Amino acid sequence: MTRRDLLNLCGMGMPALALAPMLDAAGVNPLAARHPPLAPRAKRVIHIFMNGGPSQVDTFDPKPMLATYAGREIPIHLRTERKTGAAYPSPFEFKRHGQSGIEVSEIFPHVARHVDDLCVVRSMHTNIPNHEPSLLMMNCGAEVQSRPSFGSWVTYGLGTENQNLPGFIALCPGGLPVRGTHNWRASFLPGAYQGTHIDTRESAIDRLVANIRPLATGPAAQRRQLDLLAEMNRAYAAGREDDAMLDARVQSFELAYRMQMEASDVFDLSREPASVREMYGDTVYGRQMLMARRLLERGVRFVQVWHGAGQPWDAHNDVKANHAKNAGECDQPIAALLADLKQRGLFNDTLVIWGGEFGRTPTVELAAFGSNLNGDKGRDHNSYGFTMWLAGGGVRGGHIHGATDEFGFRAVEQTVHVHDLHATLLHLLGFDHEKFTYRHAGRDFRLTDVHGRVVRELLA
Amino acid sequence: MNRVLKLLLSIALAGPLAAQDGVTFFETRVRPVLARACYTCHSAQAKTPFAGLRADSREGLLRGGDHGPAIVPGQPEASRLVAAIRHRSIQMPPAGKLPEEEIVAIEKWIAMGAPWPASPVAQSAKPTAAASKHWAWQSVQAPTGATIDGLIEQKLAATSLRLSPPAARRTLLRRLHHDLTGLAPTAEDYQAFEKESAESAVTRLLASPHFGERWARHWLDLARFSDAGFNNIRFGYGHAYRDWVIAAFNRDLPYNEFITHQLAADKLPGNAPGNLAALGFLALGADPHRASGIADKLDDRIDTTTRTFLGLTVACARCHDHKYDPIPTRDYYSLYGIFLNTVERLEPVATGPVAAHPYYDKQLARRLGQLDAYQRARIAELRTDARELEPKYRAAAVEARGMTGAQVENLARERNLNSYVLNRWLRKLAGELPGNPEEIPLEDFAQVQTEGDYNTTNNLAWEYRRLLSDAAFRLGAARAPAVRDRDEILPAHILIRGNPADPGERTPRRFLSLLCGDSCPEFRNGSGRLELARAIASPGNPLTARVLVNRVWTQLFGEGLVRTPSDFGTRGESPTHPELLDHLARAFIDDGWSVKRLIRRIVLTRVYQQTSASHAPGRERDPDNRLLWRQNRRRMDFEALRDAMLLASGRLDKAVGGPSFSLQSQPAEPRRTMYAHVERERAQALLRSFNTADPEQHTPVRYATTVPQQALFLINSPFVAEQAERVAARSQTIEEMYRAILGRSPGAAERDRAITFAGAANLRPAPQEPGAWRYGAARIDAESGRLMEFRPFAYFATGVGVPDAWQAGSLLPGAREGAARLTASGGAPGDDLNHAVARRWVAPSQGEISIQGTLALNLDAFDLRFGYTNGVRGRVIHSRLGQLGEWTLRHDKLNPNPTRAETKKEETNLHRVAVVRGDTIDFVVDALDDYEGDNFTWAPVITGAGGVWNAAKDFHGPDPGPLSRWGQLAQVLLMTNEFAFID
Repeated sequence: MTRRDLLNLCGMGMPALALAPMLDAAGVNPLAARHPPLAPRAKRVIHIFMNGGPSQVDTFDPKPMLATYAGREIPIHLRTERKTGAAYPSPFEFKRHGQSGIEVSEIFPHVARHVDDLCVVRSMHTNIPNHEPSLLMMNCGAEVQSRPSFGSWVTYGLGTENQNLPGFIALCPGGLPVRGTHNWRASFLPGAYQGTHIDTRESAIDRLVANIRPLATGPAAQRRQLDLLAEMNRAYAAGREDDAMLDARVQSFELAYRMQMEASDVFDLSREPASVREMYGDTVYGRQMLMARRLLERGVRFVQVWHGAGQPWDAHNDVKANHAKNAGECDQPIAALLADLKQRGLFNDTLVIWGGEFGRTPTVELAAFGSNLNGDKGRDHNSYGFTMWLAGGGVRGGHIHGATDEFGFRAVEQTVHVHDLHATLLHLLGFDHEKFTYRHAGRDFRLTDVHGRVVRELLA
Repeated sequence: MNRVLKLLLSIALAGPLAAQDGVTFFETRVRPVLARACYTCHSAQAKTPFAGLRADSREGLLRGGDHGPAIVPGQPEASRLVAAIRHRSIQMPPAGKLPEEEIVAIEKWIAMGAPWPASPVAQSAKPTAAASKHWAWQSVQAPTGATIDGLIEQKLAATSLRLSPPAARRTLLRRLHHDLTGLAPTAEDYQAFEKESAESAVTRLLASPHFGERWARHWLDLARFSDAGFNNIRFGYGHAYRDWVIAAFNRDLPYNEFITHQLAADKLPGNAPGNLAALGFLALGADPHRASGIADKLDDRIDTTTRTFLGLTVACARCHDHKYDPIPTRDYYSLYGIFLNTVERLEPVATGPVAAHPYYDKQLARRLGQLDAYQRARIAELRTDARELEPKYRAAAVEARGMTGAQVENLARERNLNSYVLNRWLRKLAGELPGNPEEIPLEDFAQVQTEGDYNTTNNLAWEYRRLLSDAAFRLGAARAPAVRDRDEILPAHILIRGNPADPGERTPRRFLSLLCGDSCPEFRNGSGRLELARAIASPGNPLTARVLVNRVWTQLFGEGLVRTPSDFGTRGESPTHPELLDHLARAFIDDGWSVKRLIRRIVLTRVYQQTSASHAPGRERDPDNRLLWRQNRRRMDFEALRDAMLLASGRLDKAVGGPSFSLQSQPAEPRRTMYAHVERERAQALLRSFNTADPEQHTPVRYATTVPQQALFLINSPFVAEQAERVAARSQTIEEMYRAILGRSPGAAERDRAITFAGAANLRPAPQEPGAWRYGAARIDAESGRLMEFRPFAYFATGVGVPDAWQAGSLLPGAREGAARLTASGGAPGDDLNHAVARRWVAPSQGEISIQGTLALNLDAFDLRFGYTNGVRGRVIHSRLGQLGEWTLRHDKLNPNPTRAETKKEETNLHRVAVVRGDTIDFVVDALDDYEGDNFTWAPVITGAGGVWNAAKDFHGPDPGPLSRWGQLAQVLLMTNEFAFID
């Protein structure tokens, strides 16, 4: 029985603690590509993470009522983390785009051209309006306790198509987001499923991927070394023939040797035609999005693209300046990615996810020491309602799902909790979120814990 | 719904299969909605079900509440429940309308006749008879007259297998060294073993100080040890716990006392202060930064304690009774009550007097004073806010009467009120609060603070912790993170569905009913930790000894007798050799809980000492080697592998204990890998790829995956290249190199092959030319401003999200140079004029130079208000001409209300400076009076003397150059399977 048979047989429910190491001891690669138990609609994922929390009413959820109430108190009095005041109309204009006529803010002119491919979920909600717990909720389905990230679950469930590259890669320029590596942790899953962070502000290959270049030896000398190593390992294996662990380790050196070439190739953007590089733009964000496409194209299962270190979208001080700058950085690259995926025939089986960990208040945040010194031009965190969009494999394009109230404060129609989003994403990848489990500490854990339902309306 | 459809439905529902479908529909689509949206007010969870309605049983819904039946089976339109959730009558649930599809599901379910399962699965599951007969809860039954080998052979004989022959002597010695100390034998050890018995080698290894290091590392995996908690802030003195564990293994502290110390060292009368460090087991756990994380923090303590010592997964009972083991939720909250009354604090643990350090005492007091002043100022404003909202609070409180905690919280959120203040109002109306609801006590500041307050108080608290951990690095492990009982013991309640806002019935603090029966005595000694520890460490406890001996067995054979070492419950694996497990447990207890004697007993057996070589009959009859017809070959873990390389290169620093070092530096710090700094928030990809323990949670066994990142580390990392070149440098012959790395001589063919690869003689490449820049610490004479001493930095530290830096140790602060470091664009000085930081330029030729640069200090709002830095002073010092310039950036006027961040800066331009070859220009920065927050930027550009030198652009780490051929050969040997596996 192969590992694939076994996993399929068990509906992914059974690969318990003992199984992964056991299979590994049998010499089977934990990252080997596998089929999910159900028919998948998407094979790979790119999660474009707007960390810090973009404002729904300034991006994809226009609310004219805010202009009507400008400077006045609104009749919704939800608790916020900082003091907020009157209604704060969006400083940006919205226009209808595409056949679907979905409204998009002027700060996303390039993405707007693809609006007929987007499923805009305007009724997202989560539990806690603080970055730390909400980042973990979005990434790991739990706010405080250590749980594996979505990317780790997906890589655990599907393995990856390219054995010369990590299966789960987190691109983040300039350092780490809030909560650091927790956002792509494997937690109690084996370390092979942990996301690999790449600082895309760097350009030299050996600064992008640790230990990727033979700096002290060089390719020719290294080949000689590996040949001698193989010889010595063969001699050692005599009398130890039945040990798959020995063999697995021998193979891992050849794999690593090939990985050097593949990694050098995938991150070398100069191999792209000038027209493609122009389409993405020669900026940090443009380059990282192009890297993301090259990774996906080569079979990397899950790529997460972060806007930057810390929380770039956290517009407490000045939402206009902040959002105009951030959208200015990512708009063209995101649009380029969508166009490029289509052009390469990858769009229909790639799941594209856009959004932050929560949204922002439609009311203005009042200046206070410790949070915002600038005064009365920004918005506070909002877990009651926010917008995300999906595109690609199995997603219903040109569709708006759900709605917030007339001020954009709280999701009120067809609400989608983060757990529901996770259930839906897993469904698109071929998993029943209630059966996709891992035995740990006496329990069968799920990404969605005891929650979540598949939101069928988002499916094509 | 139309009548025909209803008819069809009722026909369809006639058969038993259909009934089952109805129940499935109810369980998947309806019950979760009722549970989520209705149970908080309308179920057994609520003290008094709201409006008398209970939605947690079919009867409850049929009977209905104050207004009549809630459902009429088959008639959704006539059901009050539907009218309420459709907002036709009242609006339910109060938190907001249900999604349409959930409403439709409830209607459909009522139309189906409201099927409900016969046995209420949602209720507390009583452990079945089978579960209570589970082997692990039965008392230890040791077979009389049995031996370890005898019990193994008995099982083997039944499968017509036998123990394998003894391993070769050299193999045995290497195995013993690895298993007992984690360090490979040296050539001398092999030689000595020729005349030594296995018994005497075992005695020697058990007495080695490295024994404690190896076994402490195994223990730290269980104790989810980390050097840093939330936001990467270090636990000040965290290594005190690690070092206590090492010492405990080394002095063979009886395991029952080992347990008691880790759970309750503070409550043992007359205990030595040093033992308080053991409490790090509890104190270094989950580190929530918000009050809302308390329940999760206590869960981490419950989980770690019960899995580590008892092999029980008690945390599964947090929200509902354990599904498989007889652990009810109330038992979980009995333990919760114990840890709820356990609070962290730093305790002095030094045997002598703790060295005074006036600087830290002053600064710590200053930060505490600022925190207090901030909170006092703000609480007055928060009280005013609450006063202004009095009508709203009063109205909400009237409405909230009779609501559950969760409902009150929800109501507060809906009205933009503070739930804590609202609760005070509720108590006021109930006559339970003597004072005024707005007079919020200062100690409850965290409950009413705004996000700005949270950020500010956290910032000050982090600064305080940063200072403490600085002090720890400089003063040694004089204190330790420990715990003590809360002054006033709080009662604990069951939290319904684990929701802290929803307390249910009160639970006494006591032990698990599974282990002490239905009449467990209530713990009355403070938090009850000591009673808990004694109940765990009791010789009558069927789990404690079994769990420990199984862990030891796991380390010595690669697999346990129970292969789920932290889950001895009904879903865990059964022991392969139950009698052996009991035999070991019994002997362990009878032998005074001595871990060393337990290990000794096991490693002196034939089953341990047999060869790991495989054979066909064994593979056929027992492919997994569960019966132990051979020893298991094991791959070294990351710690053992890295230590082995350092040992081979002759660099291993064998010092036991002390502050942690960083793995991310060049050159490597040659300390044993178990002392590597571990952060929960910045998991190092390298450690994860080698499957080291996740520092966030109890890790019972490490995974053994093989991934190419491990091989990349071996073929390309500077660390391995560095060790390879060092072995090569100290090997005159191929013979010596083989002995240093593999502990044996090469065969003739191997020698020839090695010579073909590397040449007969060791040719070393020429050393690299150093560039014009040097980095170091400096001593400045206060009077003359002259540079009296330059101490070059030895380490180049790298890391994710922090700039690369030259510094005196791999991890800062260090005992020698404090926090001093230099980065491409700036750096930070050490403590004083004796520990200034100096970027040195060495003139390559004669000429006249000009220097351009800006010395700057960025001050954020917290810096401006609290004065984390008081400023820095920069100097340019010429080796012959003395000081050329001096600039001071002083920040001593604090701003109580900053409105923007600021940068203080000075241009440091100098012109027409004459140099001759070999002259040095030092860019020196000192800390003024205090070193905190002194992160300056200063990256000068020097023009003239035949070139342009840009401090920022020229900045780089050490370049050891290419490996020699001998170094390449050494690297191959270090990468072999022979080196990495223990036969």
